[in-house]
Amino acid sequence: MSEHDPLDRLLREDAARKLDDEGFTARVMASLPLPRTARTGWFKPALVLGSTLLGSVLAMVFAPAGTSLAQGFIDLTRSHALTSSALTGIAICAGLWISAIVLAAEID
Amino acid sequence: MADAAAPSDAELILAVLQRDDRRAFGVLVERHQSRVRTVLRRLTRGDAALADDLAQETFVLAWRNLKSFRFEARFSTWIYRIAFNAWQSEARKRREVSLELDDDVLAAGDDSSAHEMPDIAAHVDLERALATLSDGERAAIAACYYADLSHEEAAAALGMPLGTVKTHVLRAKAKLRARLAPKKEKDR
Repeated sequence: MSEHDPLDRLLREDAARKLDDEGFTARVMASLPLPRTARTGWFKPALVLGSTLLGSVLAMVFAPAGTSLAQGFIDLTRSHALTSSALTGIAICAGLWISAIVLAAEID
Repeated sequence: MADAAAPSDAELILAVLQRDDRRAFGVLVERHQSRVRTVLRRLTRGDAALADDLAQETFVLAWRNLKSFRFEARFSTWIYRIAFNAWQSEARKRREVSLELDDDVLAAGDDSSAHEMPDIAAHVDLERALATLSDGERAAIAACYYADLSHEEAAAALGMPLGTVKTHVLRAKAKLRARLAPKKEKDR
């Protein structure tokens, strides 16, 4: 690109011509998404955590008889990972981890 | 001329990111709207309404994605990249946009004809001549001259190899000279 090339100069002059705003900025500002309200600030994390906790409670309620979360963690410490209690504990922990990751990603 | 006391683009972006400051974003839009709309008008072959719609979409996308802005680059470079993507998406919806090199013959000759240029006041003719270029050539000229990007920045913004950008620019300029030169002959 050369200052002495008339075509370069013509292109640069054309590029430098200022377009009047003509309400453009106001249209852009009007079409921006609404600001986050206080409600949306806590509502989404509460929804994610609430769903996870509800899922955990339901898992416990409908788990086979004799399933206990405490027993599950005891089984896990004794390397008995395939008991129904241990599997329930793993599922609940996984659910909580996933919701934590989702929430962390939202914050970023 | 820029006001010495006016906040820089980076300061305005920080105000948006830290305080959700819409007024600061408004200043950014006001500052860059002319260039972005001009670039898009050239890309859309002078379709001012479509160009303004795409420019609006560009700024809204910039607002949504401002947190991904990296401060190493100029805000203008970043926003042109969004504008080029918006134009490419729109062009793909209407028809297949091609930024590839075409095999047409360079009837206009090469860059050596630089000093036999046509009437330099012919802005209207330039606009018409630009509209006859291929998508890739127009995009390269828009990026390098209207958006004032370097060849490297243009290649990154358009998602095409550096060599292709350079070739597009050379071919486009040769075609523009050819299209504008006969007009001067006629005017004599």
